[in-house]
Amino acid sequence: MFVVTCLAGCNGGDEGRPATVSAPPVVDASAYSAVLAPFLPASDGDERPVVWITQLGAEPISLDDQVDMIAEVETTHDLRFVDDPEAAVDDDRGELRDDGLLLGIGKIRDESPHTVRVEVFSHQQRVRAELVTLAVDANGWRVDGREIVDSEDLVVDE
Amino acid sequence: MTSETSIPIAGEGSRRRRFAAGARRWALGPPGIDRLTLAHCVHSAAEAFFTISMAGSIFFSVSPDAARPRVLLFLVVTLAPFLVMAPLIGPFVDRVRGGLVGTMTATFVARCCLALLLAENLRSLLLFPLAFGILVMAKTYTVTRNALVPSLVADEQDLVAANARLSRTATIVGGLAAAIALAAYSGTSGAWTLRIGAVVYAAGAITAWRVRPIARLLEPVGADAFVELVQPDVTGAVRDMVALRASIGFALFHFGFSLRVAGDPAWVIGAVILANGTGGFVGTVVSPYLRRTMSERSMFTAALVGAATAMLVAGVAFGRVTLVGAVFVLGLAVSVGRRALDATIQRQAPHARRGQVYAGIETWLELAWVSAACLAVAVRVAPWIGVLALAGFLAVVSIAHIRNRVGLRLLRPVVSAPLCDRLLMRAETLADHHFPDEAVVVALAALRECEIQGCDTGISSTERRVLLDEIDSISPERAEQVIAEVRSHVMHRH
Repeated sequence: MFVVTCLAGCNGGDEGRPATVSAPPVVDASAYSAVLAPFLPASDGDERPVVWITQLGAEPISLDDQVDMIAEVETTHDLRFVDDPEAAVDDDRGELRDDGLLLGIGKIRDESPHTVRVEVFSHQQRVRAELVTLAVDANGWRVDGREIVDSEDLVVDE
Repeated sequence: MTSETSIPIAGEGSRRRRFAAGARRWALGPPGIDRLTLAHCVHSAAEAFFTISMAGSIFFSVSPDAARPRVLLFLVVTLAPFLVMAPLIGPFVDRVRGGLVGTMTATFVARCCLALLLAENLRSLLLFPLAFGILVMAKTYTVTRNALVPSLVADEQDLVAANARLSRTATIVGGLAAAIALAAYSGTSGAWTLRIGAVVYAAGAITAWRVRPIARLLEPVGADAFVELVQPDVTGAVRDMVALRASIGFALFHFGFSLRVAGDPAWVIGAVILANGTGGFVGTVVSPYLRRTMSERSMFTAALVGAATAMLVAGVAFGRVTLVGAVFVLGLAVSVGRRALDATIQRQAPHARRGQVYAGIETWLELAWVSAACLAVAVRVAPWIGVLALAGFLAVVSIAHIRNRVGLRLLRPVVSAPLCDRLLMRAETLADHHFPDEAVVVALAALRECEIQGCDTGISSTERRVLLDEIDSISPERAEQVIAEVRSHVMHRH
């Protein structure tokens, strides 16, 4: 139905429109890697910091995208995806396993503005949340803006 | 140097040679089976390197829920060869000379190639098809190895001992190899551990190729073998073994996923796998002692009830220690069950001690393992729920097994009762156990015995002849009617 509606609209109003309409950009692993980049901790070469990734919301990142994201930073960071943020917590110590950082990433909007919610949990900084805006150009995806927002998904049990 | 000083040296050398020969025989067995034992040890070592290397794979970096569909897909793909193989493996073993050794060698070659490819793709999506390719080859190896054993023992009475030795020695070697693999992994990487494993697989191909059957030519399976195989004791043993193999397939894949979802580190999954292997080894050690004190059916009873109880305890008091303990008991139960199955076939089905039969049974066991693994991956539940579900399944199987045992005990003659009464009871028991043809034959024998004792029966010889002509297609309902009619005559004579 959506497609039909879109075509009917195009037929009725072709005058003055550009001859070609560029296809919306594909939100793939490179987009998520661009989101991750500002939040990754510094790597000192020998030790690869552990970064736990959990998905915010119902729609998970696909297996193919997860593998690509892991490969993107393989040499500097140890990315590990978990279905539940509690899986990243050591029950005995109450801290993140392997002294890691936990990032919760939402779904990147397909339409512009390409915003995505990111929540960061570390035992030093506790939880902070940001709304990240992405832009895409010929060089690929990049972060275009960051805004501090209230944390909603990652809850710290005091 | 005096002549007296040379004698102790010669004697000591002779003692050392005898000791070495004895140790070799204990570990590898007599000539013939020793080469297969060596090949199996190499297989066990190579599989240890493969398993340890998986700790460095991408499986432990991606989310379990994202990996689940891919693993399920390849498990279903793994099922396909066994579904095809199951009806064909018997004729293949029967007709293709040298087919078993060639197949076994090919599985080593294939695994060597796959391991080298996997070493380059441990952190990519190709992990899944390559790892499951190795799994299919390993399962195919197991089927062919089991089929080869009867042709490698000079005396068929040695089958149980030969299988036990294969399992015991290979488990020891596998344990040592796992320790070396762990050291290699810690010092290098998963990829290099896998490359070493590939070299071991290549060595396995050489050892497998040197296996040569020494006993008689493979004889075709005759009708007497099939009759022996459908005996209640034998079918019951196969059924119990299928349940045990399905249980371990479910357990390994369920815990592999549910523990990851719960956030347990990889070493916990390693501990579960190690517990299964250790339990299997202990099973091969204790099985000979169990056989001296109890029947094969009692061994199955102990295995099923023990495994069900252990799983129930682990489910109620769930924790890493109870989980590892329960998997240890399950591995022990599977091993004891395997020895009991071998002993049952050896004792109750002597004409069925053929490679074709073992290959067929092993194929169905592998099918059960893979099917249960598919179920484990498809269902997303917490570890303790999976443990309780497994406990429930094993409890149901145990109850069915015990009920079957009680029924079989009823088949034992009650000497004090008259023969026609005993025959009638036996006919009723056979009918209850879904053997309508045998039940009717025995019921007619009871009727004949009743006539010899002077009672007047209402079933003419023509009617009996008709019944016997139809015996192959007689329905359970018709069998019940015949038995009821015979019962009325037998009871009436009192």
